[in-house]
Amino acid sequence: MAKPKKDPGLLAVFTKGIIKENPVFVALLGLCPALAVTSSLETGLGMGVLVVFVLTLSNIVVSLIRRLIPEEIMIPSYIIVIATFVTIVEMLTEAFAPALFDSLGIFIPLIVANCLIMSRAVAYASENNVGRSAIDGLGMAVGFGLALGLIGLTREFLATGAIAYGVFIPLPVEGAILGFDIAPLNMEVFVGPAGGFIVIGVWLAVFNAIGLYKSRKRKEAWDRWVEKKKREKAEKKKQKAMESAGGSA
Amino acid sequence: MLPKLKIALILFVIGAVSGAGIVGVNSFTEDIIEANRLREEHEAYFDIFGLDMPEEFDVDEEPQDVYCRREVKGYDADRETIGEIVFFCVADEDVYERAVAYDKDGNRLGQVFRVDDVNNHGEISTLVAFDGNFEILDVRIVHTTNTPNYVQRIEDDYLGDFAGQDIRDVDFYDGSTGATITYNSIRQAVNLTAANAEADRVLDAYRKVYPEADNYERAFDYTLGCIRYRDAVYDIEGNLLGHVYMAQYDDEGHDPIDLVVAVEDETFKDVVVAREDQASETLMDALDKYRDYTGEHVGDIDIAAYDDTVYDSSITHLLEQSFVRCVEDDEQRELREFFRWATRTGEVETIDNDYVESYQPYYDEDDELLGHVYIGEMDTSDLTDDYSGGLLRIKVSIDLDGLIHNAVIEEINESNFANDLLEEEIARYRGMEGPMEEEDVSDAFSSATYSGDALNTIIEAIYAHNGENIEEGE
Repeated sequence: MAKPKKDPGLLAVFTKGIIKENPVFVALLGLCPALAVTSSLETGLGMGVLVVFVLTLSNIVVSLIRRLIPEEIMIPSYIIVIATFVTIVEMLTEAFAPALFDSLGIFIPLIVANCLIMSRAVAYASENNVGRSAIDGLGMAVGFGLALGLIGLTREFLATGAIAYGVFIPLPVEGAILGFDIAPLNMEVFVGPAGGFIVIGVWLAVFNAIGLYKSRKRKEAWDRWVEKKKREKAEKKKQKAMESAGGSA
Repeated sequence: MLPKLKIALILFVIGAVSGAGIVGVNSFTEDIIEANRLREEHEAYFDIFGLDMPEEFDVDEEPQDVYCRREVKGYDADRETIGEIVFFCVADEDVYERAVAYDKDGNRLGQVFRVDDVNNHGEISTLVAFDGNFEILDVRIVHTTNTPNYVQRIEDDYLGDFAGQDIRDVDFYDGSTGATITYNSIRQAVNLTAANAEADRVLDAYRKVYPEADNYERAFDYTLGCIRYRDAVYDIEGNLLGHVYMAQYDDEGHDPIDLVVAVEDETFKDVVVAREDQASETLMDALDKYRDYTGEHVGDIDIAAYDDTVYDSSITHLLEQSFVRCVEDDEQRELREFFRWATRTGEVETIDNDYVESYQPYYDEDDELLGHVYIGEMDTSDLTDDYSGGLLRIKVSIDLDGLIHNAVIEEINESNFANDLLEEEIARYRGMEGPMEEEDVSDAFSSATYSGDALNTIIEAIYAHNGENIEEGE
């Protein structure tokens, strides 16, 4: 009989979305906003914050109502839940963060169509309790936000030589480094969609390379362990044979 | 049956709870959102005119008069006035509102028009600001749901080009902006502002003659001569108050003058200056003298009696033209659109030509031949298989020296946008001596290239035929 798989702890549920199962760089979910709103760090992180609210709250509600929803209407029901939270978040953002609302524009209502949110609702929240679903949603959304922030940071830096318009994290590179004019080095292509594809591609390659490196290391460790076990087994066998040979002599 | 009812009930409950949640949040946030929008918009007005950013605003909640006058005052932290924006509604329904900005001393800084549009990408509200000399100060997007990247591109690369241009003659970017739909909304906002900037200035001028003037409509557009158009002026209840003639004198070597001449039933009522920036003391004094004629029949006025100031020759010329215009009947008006002093026409001669249909001689009161008026036409879809345009039909008057007096479009089958461009293009022919050389054909015409080509082709054909006419006449 197979041993039942042990549930991971809440910390593992939270952290898996940040690196190990990062929605953008590993699962390739939510790439549309990852391309569209990441022309700067500010907008990337802003979208991340909104997704934190929507994903966490929709996971909680989906988990709460999961036993009441027949399978036939699971998808439409979850879409209503997600759309409700997106609409609420949109109104709250327009009321209390108008600058963020203006910079994200149409991409706020488009959170409804973010496949990350629906996939977590169907794959996790509909099969787990409220606490774990909330933590999963929070972790995934934080991972999504950090990924968007990373892409935005890269694009903005390459395109303008500054980050967050030099407002949130002012750097001495906005326009000049040690008296050298870096304006000719700015690559405006990175503000546009082409730059978005390039940056996401490069970051995907980096994450993929790290993943491959880790899995190769794991495989090498496993091979070493198997080799060691084989050697030990052979040693034991040899010793046993010698003992039995000595006994018979 | 029961499971289906259960499903319906569950969906209903989810929908109801969802709707209730949204309604609750909406009722909580809508006032805050509206206040944010208003504040952001008011701040934009102060920013456009270089005023300090107010700490607080004093806003009229309700319009104060029939012109929807609404005032917004901005104060600093010490409650000192920084400036004032006065809003008015505009007769043109496509324009959301007009605002006039004043500094703390009450000096008029300029006007701002707000134009709201809904394009394929969503809503867009644009402010277009200009000063007393019609120089654009700023074009700014204050609210939009258009794709942010496109809006950013337009704001970064194209809006700055408008500053410093004359609002009545704006040179738009003619090419691919990469955000064409958003840019077209901006173009429309600027065009509507241009149309209404003059209109409101004109209405202000009309109110000097008819204080109760609330609206007006174009009665006739003159394409030839210094009288630009005749407007019928109405009060707020829609009663006709009278007619005014917009007279413009802009010859080289003279200061330009724009006058509003009011004539009722062939009786002179008043003459006022249309543009405040032209209202010099000398001109106002000069105009005062002509008010002696108020109430007299235009036929009894010896308009050339005054000749004291530098303006008199211009003023008498404009008044004379207005008086001539106000007594002409429809037939005379039609004749004078092609030759200003025409009194009769000859027989229409049809021509066997692909692009020229007919011509007609025009004569003055001494029966001297002034020139010919040609009708030409072309099907623009004949130019290429790729274009399904339609018939372009024009009417052109050419004098005996080969000078084009007037050229107007009689019929066209194009988009409104191309129509406007073609109207601009045909106006360029007025006063020319011959068809345009290829290099002179407007390069700002790329959006209606085939119609532009057709126009030049017809005029070339007309000219070829007119040469034969002149030779025969000689």
